[in-house]
Amino acid sequence: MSHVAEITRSLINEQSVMQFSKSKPWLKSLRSDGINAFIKDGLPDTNIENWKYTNLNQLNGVTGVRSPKVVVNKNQISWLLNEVETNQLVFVNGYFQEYLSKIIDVGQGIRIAPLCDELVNSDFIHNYLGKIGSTTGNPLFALNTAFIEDGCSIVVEDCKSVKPLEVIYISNGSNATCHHPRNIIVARNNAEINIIERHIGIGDEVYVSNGATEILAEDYSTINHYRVFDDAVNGINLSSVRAVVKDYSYYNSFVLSTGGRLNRCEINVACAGERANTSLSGVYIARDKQHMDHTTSIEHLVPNTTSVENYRGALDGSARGVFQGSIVVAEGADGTDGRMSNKNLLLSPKAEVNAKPQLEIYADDVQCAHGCTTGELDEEALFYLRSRGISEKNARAILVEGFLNEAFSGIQEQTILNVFHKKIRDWMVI
Amino acid sequence: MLEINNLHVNVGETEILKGLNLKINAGEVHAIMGPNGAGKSTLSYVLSGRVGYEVTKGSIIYQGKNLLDMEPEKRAGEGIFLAFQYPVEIPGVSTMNFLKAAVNSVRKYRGKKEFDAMEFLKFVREQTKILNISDDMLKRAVNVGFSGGEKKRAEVLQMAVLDPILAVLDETDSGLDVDALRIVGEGVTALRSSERSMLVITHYQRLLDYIVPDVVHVLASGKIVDTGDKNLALELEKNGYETYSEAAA
Repeated sequence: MSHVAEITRSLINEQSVMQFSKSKPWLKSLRSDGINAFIKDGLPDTNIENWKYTNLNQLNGVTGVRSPKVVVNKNQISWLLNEVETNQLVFVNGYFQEYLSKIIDVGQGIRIAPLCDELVNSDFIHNYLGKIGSTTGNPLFALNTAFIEDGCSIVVEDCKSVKPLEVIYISNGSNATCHHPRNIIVARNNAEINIIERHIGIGDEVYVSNGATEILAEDYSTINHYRVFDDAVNGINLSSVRAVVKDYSYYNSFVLSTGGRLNRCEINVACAGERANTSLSGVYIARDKQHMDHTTSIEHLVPNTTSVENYRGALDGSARGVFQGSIVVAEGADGTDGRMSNKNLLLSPKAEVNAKPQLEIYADDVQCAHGCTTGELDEEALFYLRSRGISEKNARAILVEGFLNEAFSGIQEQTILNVFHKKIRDWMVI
Repeated sequence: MLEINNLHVNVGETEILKGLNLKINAGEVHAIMGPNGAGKSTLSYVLSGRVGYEVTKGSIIYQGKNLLDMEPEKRAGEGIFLAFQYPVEIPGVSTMNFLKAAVNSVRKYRGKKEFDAMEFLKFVREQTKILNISDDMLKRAVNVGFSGGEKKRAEVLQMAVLDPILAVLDETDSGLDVDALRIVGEGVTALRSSERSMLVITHYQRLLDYIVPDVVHVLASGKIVDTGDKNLALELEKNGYETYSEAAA
């Protein structure tokens, strides 16, 4: 039996022994849909087109056992948005940690809560959970669904905007266990949400975080979704985002990946309403043997929707970067404007990038463009900086930083932009 | 201050400079003129330490030190500045941050205290006023989307803030209209001092109306073939380089 099949089996066994018996019937049925879909597809191997460049054999040794509840001290946590008043949620191994969290926006159409509370207290979240994303053809999302237990849930009603929400996901690895945080982000009509997520790891043992997030931007709403993947050295972070964007709304995603042994960050957006917009920006910086995979797909389902995509990567050591981007323009979705750009810098002869842009267009009146480049640092620019007295090492750092920062030119919020820039600078000076 | 002796330089297999001699004293402004392909830009790159220019014979002594042993950043620290003929665009790096990194690098090299953000802003604003450079331009990425005039003004600004001992201006007049030429010319002239030497490389005489040279050289086929005062530049403007090309060949 292949590694992948072995891991699949152990994950299924684990789900069957989980004690979900007290759950509400709809939730039980959602979880069993998840496990059935996962059993049908299994853990993807490299024969699946979407997984061609990322081999989950790296999960070898992963047992599927649910990560334990562990206690983390307050002093192990640093907030990115320190100086701004924010809602703060902390999850450790997927479990909400109330004593580390602080929710300041409550009531009056704003619902911020750990998913575990939403699952127990009412059926409200049933309106959204499992209804935005689909388990069909998404085995990791299905697996996450099989283990739905906790995560971040935020629903903002009409015309409301919330203070920024910062969520920290801490993985404390032990014996290659898994956790499956599940998040829901819903902006009702005219609402605005800014959410910044950070994924960190403690220790150097293997763990698997298999997160899934369902996002719904209803009419005239805006969701700005910032994520920083800072996983620990042996951390494996798999994440799937499914966003549906309705009339005149925006889903803007900014991803910065620097950590972990293996990172697969998958985003799937449906522009499903008139004049829906999405912009996906990302930076991946990797060294040693890190593997970072950013896979996106954008579906333009109705006329006059727009998407902009800008991913940049810098790969050092023997690191490998993967970018897969697909834009699908459905039949009748005239007036679509879709633009995709992916640029990579190879900083060492052993670093590698696999880039695969894809356009599928079934409508007539459409503007779509994509471009991928992979290259080395510009020697001419390097000499220019050095001729101004800047050391070769600093000149390289300045050029790489400048190259990467371009991906985040769409960030309007200066505080967050500074956080992203600083993260990139910190990576450069290591 | 600068002494170049019998300099031979290859680019790839081709010999470009073929025994060039040049001596510049402190505070002097020398102009080098010459036809296309004479080796003018090669000389500027050899002085600033660009890779791909192989010195096969000869020496460059700068302030008593062997310049050819130094990395480009060390040369900058020692006071050599090259204003590029084609300034390089650097997307994603703001002009302000670039200038600050450069100035603090050379200050550190020269044993001076590095500027903090506020000190630097004050320092750089003194210079931008003279060169008609807006704050907006400093916020933009280095040379990206700059007009020809803006690029050259930015080069002169870099020269001003880096406080060089020897400034090499490589065809700084190329791509400039009359007004931009005047601003650049006056900007450079304002930087003349008894401790600063300049080597102005140009194809045309017009820049020398603003930056009046002490000595004018003609570079043809990899050698200095004639030397005179500023009147030599006027003669060249009238008669062209044809006689030198023939002589060298």
